Amino acid sequence: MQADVERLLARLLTDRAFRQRFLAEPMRIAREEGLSDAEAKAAAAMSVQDLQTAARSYQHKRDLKVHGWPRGWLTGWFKATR
Amino acid sequence: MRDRVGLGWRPELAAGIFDSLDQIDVLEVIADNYFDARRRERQALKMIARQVPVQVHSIALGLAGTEAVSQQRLDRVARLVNEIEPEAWSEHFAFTRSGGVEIGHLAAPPRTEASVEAAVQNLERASSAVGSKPLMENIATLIDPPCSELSETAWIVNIMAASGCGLLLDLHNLYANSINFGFDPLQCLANLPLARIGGVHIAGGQWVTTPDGSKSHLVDDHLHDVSEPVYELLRALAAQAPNPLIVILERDGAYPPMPVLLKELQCAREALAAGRHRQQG
Repeated sequence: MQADVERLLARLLTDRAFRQRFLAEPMRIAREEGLSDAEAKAAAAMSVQDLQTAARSYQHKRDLKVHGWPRGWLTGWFKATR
Repeated sequence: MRDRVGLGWRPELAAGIFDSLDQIDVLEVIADNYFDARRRERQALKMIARQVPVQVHSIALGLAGTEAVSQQRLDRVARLVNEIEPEAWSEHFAFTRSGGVEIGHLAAPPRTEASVEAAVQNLERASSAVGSKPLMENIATLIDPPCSELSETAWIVNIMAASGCGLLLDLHNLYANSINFGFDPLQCLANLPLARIGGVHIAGGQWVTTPDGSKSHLVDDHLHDVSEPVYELLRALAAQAPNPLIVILERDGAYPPMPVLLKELQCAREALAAGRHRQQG
């Protein structure tokens, strides 16, 4: 089902250990996640390079969000508009 | 109405933006940055919206996922839209969570009839909660979603047709996907309903190579200058789009001096003018 494939993608993009298990045994892991044989086959055919690059990119974007807003922006803004 | 060009509002750019309002037609505000903002910050945003036309851009509703969009998240967007009264609000053709897993960024779901149906249902909920339909933005993806049955263009067109939502066309996302998956972005433009484009994003990205050096990807990171192919797509779009375009430059870090960003806005204006000239000729 669509939801199972989305959940598999979500885990692959966020969970390094899960991703490594998937890359070692894609069909078995995909089936364990509830994918049908056809869905598991499609998931297993994903480019390993694309998946790893995507996972690194997502991690980088999550890391950037952790920093949040710079403090004092409001003060800077008020100074700028005076 | 005329084509307009503006910038994504970022606190780091506040002073430069306010010094340059004569060169900025519109600002785009990230909704999610204001959900937990202090009252003073929301009041400041309202003051900004009184001085410059504002668009609200939401990034984490996950409207194209099969999970029903959270009413709580929709209520927060609705409250902000109600307070700010933007010209428009927007979201993405993406999912951001599934089965309790928060991805933390936009992800492309498998492009199937099931995801078209799910997106349309979520868009109905969103439109009802916020009081207006969002513009929906195409995303950049590094993974061709498995089990996809539709091309990205057909999937987007189907969702737009069934939901009645307009398109926020991100030209760098289109360009990056065309590079990473080997298709012609101009052909995509030709297949999109250009009359329903309510906004355009431009941005920059970075080439990254896999550790073994065997493959390169263009990553949409909003940390680099807009590249010439993106301006060329903007020229092509302006040559075909029947309605005025609103172009927003997105920059999320590694901020250059304000004159560099203003130069990019000027390049966008020139690309629009060149495209319009082509259309008239």
